[in-house]
Amino acid sequence: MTGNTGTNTHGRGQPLQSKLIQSVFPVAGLAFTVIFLFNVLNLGFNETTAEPALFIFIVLPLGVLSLILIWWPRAADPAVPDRERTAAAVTADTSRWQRLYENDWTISAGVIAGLVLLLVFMHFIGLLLGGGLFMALMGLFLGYRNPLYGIPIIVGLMALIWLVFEYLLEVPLPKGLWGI
Amino acid sequence: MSNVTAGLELLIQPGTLLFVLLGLVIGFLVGLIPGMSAANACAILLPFTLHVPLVHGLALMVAIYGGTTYSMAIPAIVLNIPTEAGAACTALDGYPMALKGRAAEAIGVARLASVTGGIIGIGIALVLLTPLASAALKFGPSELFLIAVIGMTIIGGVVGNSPVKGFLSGALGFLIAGMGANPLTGITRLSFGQVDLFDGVPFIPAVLGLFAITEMTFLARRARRGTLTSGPKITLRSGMGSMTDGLRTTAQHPAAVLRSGLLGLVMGLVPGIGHSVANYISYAVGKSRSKHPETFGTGNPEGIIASEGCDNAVSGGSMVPMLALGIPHSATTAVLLSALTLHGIQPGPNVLTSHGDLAYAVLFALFLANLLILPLGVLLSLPMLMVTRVRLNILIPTVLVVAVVGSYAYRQQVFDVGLTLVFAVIGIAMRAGGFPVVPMLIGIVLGPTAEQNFLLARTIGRGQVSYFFSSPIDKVLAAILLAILILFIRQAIRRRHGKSNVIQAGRDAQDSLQLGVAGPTPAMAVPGPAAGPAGAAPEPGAAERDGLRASPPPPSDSP
Repeated sequence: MTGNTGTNTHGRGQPLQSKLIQSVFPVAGLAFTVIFLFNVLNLGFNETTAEPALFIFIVLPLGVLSLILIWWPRAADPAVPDRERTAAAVTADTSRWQRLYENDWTISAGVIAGLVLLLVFMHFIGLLLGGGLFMALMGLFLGYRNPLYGIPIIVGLMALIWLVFEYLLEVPLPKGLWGI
Repeated sequence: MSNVTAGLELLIQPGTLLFVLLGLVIGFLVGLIPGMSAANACAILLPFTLHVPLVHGLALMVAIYGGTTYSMAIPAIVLNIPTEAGAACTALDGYPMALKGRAAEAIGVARLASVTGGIIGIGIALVLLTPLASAALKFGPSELFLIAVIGMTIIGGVVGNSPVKGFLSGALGFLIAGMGANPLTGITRLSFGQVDLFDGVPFIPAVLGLFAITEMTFLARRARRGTLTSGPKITLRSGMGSMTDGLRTTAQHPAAVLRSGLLGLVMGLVPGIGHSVANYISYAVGKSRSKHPETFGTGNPEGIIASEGCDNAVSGGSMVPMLALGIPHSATTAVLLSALTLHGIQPGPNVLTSHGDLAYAVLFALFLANLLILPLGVLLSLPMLMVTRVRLNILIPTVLVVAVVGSYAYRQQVFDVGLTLVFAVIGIAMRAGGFPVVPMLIGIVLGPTAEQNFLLARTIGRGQVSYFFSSPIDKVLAAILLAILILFIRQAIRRRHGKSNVIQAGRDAQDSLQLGVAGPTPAMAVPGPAAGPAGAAPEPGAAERDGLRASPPPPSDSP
């Protein structure tokens, strides 16, 4: 594409801009508009029904834009269809597991799941220990395999967080059920 | 004049100077790390700034902004890895110079051009601020409401690749800003019965979720696929002497520096025109005015001057609409506005009228940061290259933990961490679907101001819509809004017919980077002949020989 140093590998796994994900926000916007208008029609156009006078300025454009994107998706990006941009880079020579491993959505879901896990850790073992554990697990998930450097980095960062928050800013960090 | 001196007094306090220095060093580091951006760094540091005086926090953030804008040029020149779309333009001529063994000279050219462009931009911005402050006094609620709508319309239309998606993102941002209590009546709306949302959606979880965590997630995709490491082993062989040559080269092109600085200033004044678009426009103008346009893209220092001189001037110009009107120019300035709001200062002309000293202190801090780039840049250039070797699978978990800690520290509620995750999911889905997140954030930041002024104007005008168009300023603003909408519709029609322009080229450059296409694309960069293929097409195998990897990181979403 550019004659430059590499190839576009973005297309491995699923194309980033699938039709489904492109539709999420317009559908949500349209649904909200319909519910809002229904609410206004039922409850009347007054101050106590969620400020219709102001929200009409937000909700109506939201509804119109959502309708445009749902009925005429090419209006959003008429020049280059998304699938065309990514399909060329999809490689057929990778195994099923490799594709799953490299799938964009697997990685995104993994990062978010890791953060949810961090919330759970915070509840039981506090932020400092939980954060360290999260860093180790996330590092492994992202392919880091060297404990020699990894452990000192984790310990150093947690010590720095404790120093900055607990000591300098006097912001108490969340402690777990075990008081750590 | 008193505000100017008061602003200077605020700046020359030892604490403020220390924060400028600290911000500059952080900015240098951030600009070198693929995937990081000034907006991300400011977002992560936003919770910390609540614990220091506001002027210190703002000085830190603007210094980060200035430092990042400069240091982004280094990986673009040496490695052909533009860490943000704005730096892609610098790589057009910087990387070919590096391939010819003139990397240090190119960095020298970039440094002086950045500093001079920044000083021009901020210097004129300082002059513009005073008349704007007096004009801003004439603005009432209806004018402020229209300004917020204009700002949102411009940003929604310009940021990202599709105005429709940009507008939708902005409308959703306004809607999110509407959650919580009505500022006049106190009636709660859209809070889902959550007590934690009665005061509205807090900025910090929104900023951290939409930017820091979303950005890290997209970076993680590349880190795990192994398509990106930031550890190429390349050193500057030419040394300090070549850097001095670079400084001299820039000094020999005063007209080019002045032109790019002025262009950057003008581009900075227009909300939504990001660094990438501004740099490409400056590059196109620089090329058209050059005596050797055919050498642009093959390692012409004038190309670097055009890009870098403009880049830092945009930062200066962008402060004017933010401080005078409360309209953020980009994601970074939106985070700066969030900092003001969190300290109880309502964005808008109020900043200049009630906190004029602070506004000038911010501009002076940016000015000082730009001045310090020259000596600090010389001292730190070689060590800074080491930073590009940071492993992403260490960087990403570190940033994620700091973001979570930051979101918790703001109100010390685990609910805010959960809210950060919700915004992260929204950010990931939006970016994956091609919706820009910047308009949403700006909608969240501008929403309360827009709502409050709308309600005030409606009360004053006794519910008459005509009140919003009653004063001469209202009429001018309404005409501007209409013109902007017509312009966007016209552009969309032109684009459907395959006609492009420089603004579109800037957008496409950003888009190509987000899709993982390596390096800048000169064919897109400047419409017209002789774009100079060597800028993006170095000799075959050169990158592999230097230990470079295939794809650059996705640039941040900030314009």
